[in-house]
Amino acid sequence: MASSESTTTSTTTKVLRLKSSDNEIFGVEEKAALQSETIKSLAEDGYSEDVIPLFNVEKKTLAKIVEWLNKHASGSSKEELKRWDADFVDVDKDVLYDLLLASNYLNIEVLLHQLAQKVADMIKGKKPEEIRQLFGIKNDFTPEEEAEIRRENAWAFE
Amino acid sequence: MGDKHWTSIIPDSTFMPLSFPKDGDIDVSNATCSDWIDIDQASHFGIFSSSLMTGGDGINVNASDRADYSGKSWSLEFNFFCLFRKHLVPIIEQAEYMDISSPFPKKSANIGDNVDGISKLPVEVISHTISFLTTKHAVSTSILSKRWEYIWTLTPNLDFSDQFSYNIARDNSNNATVFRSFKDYVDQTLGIAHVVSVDDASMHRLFSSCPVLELLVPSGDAMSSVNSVVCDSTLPTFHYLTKLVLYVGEFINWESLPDLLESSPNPEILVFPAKCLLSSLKTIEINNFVGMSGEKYIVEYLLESAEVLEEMIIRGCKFFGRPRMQKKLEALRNEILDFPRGSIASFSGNNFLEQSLGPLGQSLKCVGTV
Repeated sequence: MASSESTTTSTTTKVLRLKSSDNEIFGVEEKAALQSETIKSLAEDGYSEDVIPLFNVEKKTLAKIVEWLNKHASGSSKEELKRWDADFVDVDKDVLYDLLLASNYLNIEVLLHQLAQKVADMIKGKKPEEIRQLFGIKNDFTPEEEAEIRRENAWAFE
Repeated sequence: MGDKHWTSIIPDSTFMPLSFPKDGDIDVSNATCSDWIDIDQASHFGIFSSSLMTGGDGINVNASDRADYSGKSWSLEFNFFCLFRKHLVPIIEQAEYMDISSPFPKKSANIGDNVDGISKLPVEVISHTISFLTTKHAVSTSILSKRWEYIWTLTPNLDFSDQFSYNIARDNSNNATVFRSFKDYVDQTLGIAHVVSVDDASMHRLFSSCPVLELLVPSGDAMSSVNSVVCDSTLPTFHYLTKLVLYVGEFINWESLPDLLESSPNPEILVFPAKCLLSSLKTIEINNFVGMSGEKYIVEYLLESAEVLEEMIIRGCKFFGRPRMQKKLEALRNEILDFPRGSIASFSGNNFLEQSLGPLGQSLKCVGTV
């Protein structure tokens, strides 16, 4: 896993300051930060000179997000990005959920897409029972309800 | 939030997406800084009685403009998708199950302690994930838990192309025939009766369950089902359908195509395997033609590819009746007649009616004014 990149910048580059829900402040180059539509609209609304509060993202998740934003604004080659992204999403499920929530909230479409694809890859080729087990999903249908759903869409359960 | 404000801008049981004006005076002071609205509050809006649901989570308001964190003056854009009534009650039940009155950030604390991590994700995120799966697999996630039962219906894709290889691979397991792709299947089985994989009732349910479809890849079965659904006149309108891919052999029920196209007012991409058009398609009717470039492309493509095509009937959209549309219409008509084999096209509707038809004029279908 790549280490968190430093956000020291030259004097000409504008830096936005993002504040996590637990009050940690991250400095991110504007170019990188604006990949988030949510940050973009907040910046346009006049938060750019001030600290941009991101109430829905915790420090540890925001650190990962910032890492992603920086990498994707760094001008890396397509192949390198692809490898880097594969590493980036190769994390524990709980981290994955936090990243999904954050990228959804921050409206970073590319990242959301990558993460959703990652979860889909985990689901692919698995039977419902296996998916339940993998994600710890509790089956709260009664046997009758489950049978009814299976009957309604029988073709999907063949 | 007053009932009046909402009910006045939401037409009853339609499939139109609605955009609320950005400066709409909507008080969501109860909703904290997240996108959530309390279900008890929401149930008073009157929107649920008119069979609507929001585009995101059950009752989640999709705020694309999270402008003000003070919670006082919100400027929100709401995107709503309407659903059939039959889905309404389950969705509300589901919403209650999710305890969505909990503010979004406190995800771990308030959404039932025994709910797993993935199920706590917003519905829009889960449905995005599911959209990477084949339709068959996506539908099978409905069995995971109550939370998941209806999430797949928000998928923008219905792709049945895998049904072919699946069924054929299974049916031929004894002689070890493996169809690597759909193309193999078509090449090897043209003329052989197709395997019924999705029955009409299931297809009916699928079509009417997915109001936000963007991509539809129906199998031959699916097309037959379109026909049966049309007979019940309940084929929903796919407002978001922009891509229609027809992987079909000669067994396709071509009568359904116009219905499907009519139900899809915004197609941008229509993909046929050219082969299937060579020998079967004789009549095409296109309804509600408005002359957008996508439509012209479809017309041109069909005229060019469907070699045994005998007639094409184009019914103009209502607004072609307006005087200022006359010129545009005339140009359109000439343009189409200039396409290769364009002369077999005929036009109906207020202005298309009884226009010149070229050498194959006998194929004119006067369908009366629209």
